[in-house]
Amino acid sequence: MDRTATLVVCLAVLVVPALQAIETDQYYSWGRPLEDSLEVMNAKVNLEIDRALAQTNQQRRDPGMTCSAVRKRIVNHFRLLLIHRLELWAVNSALVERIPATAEEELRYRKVFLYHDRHPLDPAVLMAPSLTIQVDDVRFGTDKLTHFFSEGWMYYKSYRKGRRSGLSHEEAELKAIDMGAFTERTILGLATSGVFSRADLEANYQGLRFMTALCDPVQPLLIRTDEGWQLREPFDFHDYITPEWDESWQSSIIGRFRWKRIRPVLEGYCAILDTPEVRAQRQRYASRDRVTATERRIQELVDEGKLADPRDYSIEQVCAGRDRQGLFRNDSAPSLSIDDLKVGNTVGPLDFLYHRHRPASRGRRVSPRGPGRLDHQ
Amino acid sequence: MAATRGRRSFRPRSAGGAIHLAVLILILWRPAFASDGQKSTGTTRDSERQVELTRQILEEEGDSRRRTIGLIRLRASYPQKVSAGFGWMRVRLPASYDCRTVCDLQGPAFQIEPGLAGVQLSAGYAHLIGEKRRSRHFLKAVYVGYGGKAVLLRTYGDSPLEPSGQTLIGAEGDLTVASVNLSLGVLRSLSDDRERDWIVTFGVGWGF
Repeated sequence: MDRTATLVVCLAVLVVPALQAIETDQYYSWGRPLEDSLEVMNAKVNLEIDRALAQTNQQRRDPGMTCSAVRKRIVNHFRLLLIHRLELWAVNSALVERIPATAEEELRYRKVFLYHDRHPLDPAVLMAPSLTIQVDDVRFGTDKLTHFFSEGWMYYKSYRKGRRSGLSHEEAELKAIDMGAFTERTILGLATSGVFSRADLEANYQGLRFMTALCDPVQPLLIRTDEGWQLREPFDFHDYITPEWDESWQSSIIGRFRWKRIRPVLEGYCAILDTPEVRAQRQRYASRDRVTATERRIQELVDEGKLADPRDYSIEQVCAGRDRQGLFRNDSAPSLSIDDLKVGNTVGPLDFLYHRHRPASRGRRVSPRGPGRLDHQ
Repeated sequence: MAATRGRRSFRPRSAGGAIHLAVLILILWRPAFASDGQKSTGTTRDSERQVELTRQILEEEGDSRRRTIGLIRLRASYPQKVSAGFGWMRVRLPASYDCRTVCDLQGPAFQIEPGLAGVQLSAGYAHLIGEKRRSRHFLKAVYVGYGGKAVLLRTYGDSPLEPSGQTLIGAEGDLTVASVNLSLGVLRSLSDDRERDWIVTFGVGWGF
């Protein structure tokens, strides 16, 4: 029995990080048309909140029920196993357009997406990568929906604890962000999957904003009426989603060993970085991009030498100084046009790199130079 | 949501589904969307669009049907030693969900599991998040899941029990994370010549 108990504990330690090791790849969606799902996502969230409130109002006529208790019920309503209810709906519903669009394409995507080249012992290998959806003109992985509600709630608990211990609003927010950054640097990020996702932290932070807004002391989203608890105004993702949710815009920080496998894949996208579609998308992002609280904190960690500089992992840095269109011609591999990436065309930039031309191109294209700062691990 | 490429229209397939849909629509019409707190960027047309989209969501949910999903498990366990389980669970899902990629599955589960030192029959309830991938019938990956079931076990051969051939009955709990399955059970022997009345079973394996 002792041996079995040890085995169980070891397995738990091994597999639990896998729970949060879900990865996503927005580069794969570059140049592929994708319908915006803002309206239907809003409708779904409002429907689920309304259901949670209807249950609450039906079951608990307690006039002393606090806004915090109602908020907790809303959070619990979205909760499921590992993946939140909203994310599961988004990856299955016919009302939400996704990339990859079909199950068959998704199974192929798993063999070519940004993080596909993984060590067999990487816990992330056990989990399916998230799909890309577009909401409010921002493309992001469906995992961000779980981050928004689940990690947003964890952030809120940390924030609340900070406030109760006398911290100011800003200090308590910072405490929550630090908690998220710590987990991304350790058990849920760099130390396990080798990826520190800044976009995940942005979604967490926006989740915190939503949680605090629900019971804001001045203008709460939740109000009590004669009919019970209601939303003062419908939930709108427009208030929370920013370009920083897109991991092709908000590049992740990658561990040294993981980077060796990821960089060659990323280089494959240099060929389409300057296409009109991708450039237009990045210009739209740039016009909406603001320095967020999370970014400020990460920059402090970078300045303190605790994190590598995320700019070293950006597509611009990877492609800097390269003849982008010539990159593939030099490798005797076919160049891609944006038309190759339209929906229904199964050829993607990685398909030929990692299947048809993999042995020939891979060895030549891997740059011996790593990013400037990779000494964070 | 201008284009509707690749989308399907949904209609409830049963009277029960239609009633369910009607109730949900009534719930929907109650508070939030009818509130006067329109956002500064919102318009009445936006609100109508939201109601229409909500109706489509409810229709999709209402068009659900029962399905049978196959379960597979390979495990090393006590007292069965090495065993392979085959089973199925009955779930209700929207018609458009094919579960080739991640799905939420809840429902009654049944399993038969022959092993080197025993065969186990079980029936219970399971809640899983998994996918069939390219399989038509069986779940190929269970990302997370748990279940509880009643178990009937018949041991034989060189089982570690004394005597080796016994019939036991009891309960077992299962937990699967990232396809790694852990099981723990408590069984009572029904055999007259048993050495112990109760045994604790446990196992580690793949699947659910």
